[in-house]
Amino acid sequence: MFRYLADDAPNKSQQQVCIIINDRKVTVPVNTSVWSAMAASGEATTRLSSVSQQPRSAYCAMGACFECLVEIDGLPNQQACMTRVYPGMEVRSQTITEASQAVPLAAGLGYELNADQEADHD
Amino acid sequence: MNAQAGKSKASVIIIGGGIQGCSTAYQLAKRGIDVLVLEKDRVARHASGVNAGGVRLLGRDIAEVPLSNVSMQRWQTLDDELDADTGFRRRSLINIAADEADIQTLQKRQDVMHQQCYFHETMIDQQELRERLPHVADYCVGGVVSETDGYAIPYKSTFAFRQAAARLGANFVEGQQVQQLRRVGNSWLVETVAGRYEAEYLVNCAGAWADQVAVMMGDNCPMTYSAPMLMITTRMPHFATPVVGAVSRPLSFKQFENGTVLIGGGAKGFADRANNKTRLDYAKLAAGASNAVDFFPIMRTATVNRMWAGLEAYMPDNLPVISASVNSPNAFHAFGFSAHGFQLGPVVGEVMADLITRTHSDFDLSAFRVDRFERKVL
Ligand SMILES: Cc1cc2nc3c(=O)[nH]c(=O)nc-3n(C[C@H](O)[C@H](O)[C@H](O)COP(=O)(O)OP(=O)(O)OC[C@H]3O[C@@H](n4cnc5c(N)ncnc54)[C@H](O)[C@@H]3O)c2cc1C
Ligand code: FES
Repeated sequence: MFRYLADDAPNKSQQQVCIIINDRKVTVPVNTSVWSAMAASGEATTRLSSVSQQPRSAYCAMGACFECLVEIDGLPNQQACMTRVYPGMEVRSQTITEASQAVPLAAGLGYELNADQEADHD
Repeated sequence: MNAQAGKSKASVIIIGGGIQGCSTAYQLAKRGIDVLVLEKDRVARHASGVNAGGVRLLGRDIAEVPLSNVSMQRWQTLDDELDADTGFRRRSLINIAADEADIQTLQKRQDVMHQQCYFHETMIDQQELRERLPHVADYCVGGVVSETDGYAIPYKSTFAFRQAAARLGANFVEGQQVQQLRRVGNSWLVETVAGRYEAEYLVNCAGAWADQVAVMMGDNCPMTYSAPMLMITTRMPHFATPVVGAVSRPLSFKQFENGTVLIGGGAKGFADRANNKTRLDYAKLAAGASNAVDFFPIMRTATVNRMWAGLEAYMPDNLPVISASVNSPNAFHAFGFSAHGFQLGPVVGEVMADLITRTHSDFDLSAFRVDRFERKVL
């Protein structure tokens, strides 16, 4: 659905970075925003509304509306439209709703969603 | 005579429409007393509307335990009593022990409590702590729990008292800053910015401004005021059902049903009561946030959404003034709650109503006298 305008006139010298979006490796142009990277790679859902659980994506694409919140490297609530990609970045659509239960992790930061939520989300 | 609609005469005039004023109005109205509340701003505009909503019996000063105990019983059924939604949730409250020194502190406290026949605080070991709070940091060694504790929504609770009082005939007039009090015969004449009122009895529930009202009644006391700060996160996955505190560190937080986490802990900002203003001290808020992360690693993923402060009255011993005036007849005080007066709201109304209608309370109020700091001068 989304594509880079630059792809119409490919510039071979354009540098690319590799990032991970929802567990999938994708290669995107350097300096692109996380949201552009997501949209161009078919992962336009940034988050589920925490109240209605409806999918959300970028709305203003300029930092004002906070519709585009994603998890970046384990930290939720990052604005996809305002954040530049960097190599190795791990982006995840955010699925925190009123019903989310945190599952204790053995080590490290963060939480995981339990199986039920994963199912809901699909 | 008065500019605003409403009666200018009442049997009892309460100065201040926070939870103490509204609860007192409710109890008096329930006893058929003609009561009027004068509030300088709006009901629940100050501490009672913006506090952390902690309904805590755990860790109370011994002098406060009898009052707090009864208040806690009231909270369990307050929604029914007031026919309203205060948002009260019984969730238990756990104070976490971070090390052996904390355990010793708790042990000493427990000895004192047991001597007084108070058994509502139960020490828990590391295993039970982890069962109750699976996300607690590994190093935490135990803690203490009070099962009846929880939280309520502050402005809803204060409004619940206000509405219940109003249904029973209490009058509330807002935008009425009391500026002068005078004794004329057996009455009190009350002058506000916008009108004049008359009453037989006065109750000072003026929160962070209560020392000023006390002086108008002839009572001087060393009350100070400050601006405790709070912050609330965006929704997080549920990880803590009990309300959480720490034995020796300024940590206090609770996760609401919608997933947001309210972080307090007593850090204070800058208070400007003359202008109804507070300013936040971000360095202290950051320290509070990092405290929360120390105890709960998952808090590293928290996003703070809003921060604010409220104006609160403090006494040097952190105990409230719940007392008849010593220098004026028919005048009473309830203020200086030192950042834990929300929980006491239900019982304070009962005590004040008793002081007025029965001239005494069944509680021992000697620790809360308004003149307890007065020194004998030779
Ligand atoms: C940030 C914060 C967090 C807190 N957290 C908790 C908690 O978790 N648990 C807990 O138990 N307690 C907590 N507290 C304390 C609790 O909020 C207060 O102790 C309690 O609300 C005091 O109620 P009050 O009615 O005495 O005062 P207030 O709510 O301040 O009401 C006093 C009212 O009097 C009015 N007034 C003052 N002067 C005049 C005048 N001259 N004429 C007319 N009206 C006047 C004011 O406008 C005000 O509305 C907290 C307080 C703050 C600020
Ligand atoms: S799309 Fe509006 S803030 Fe990102």
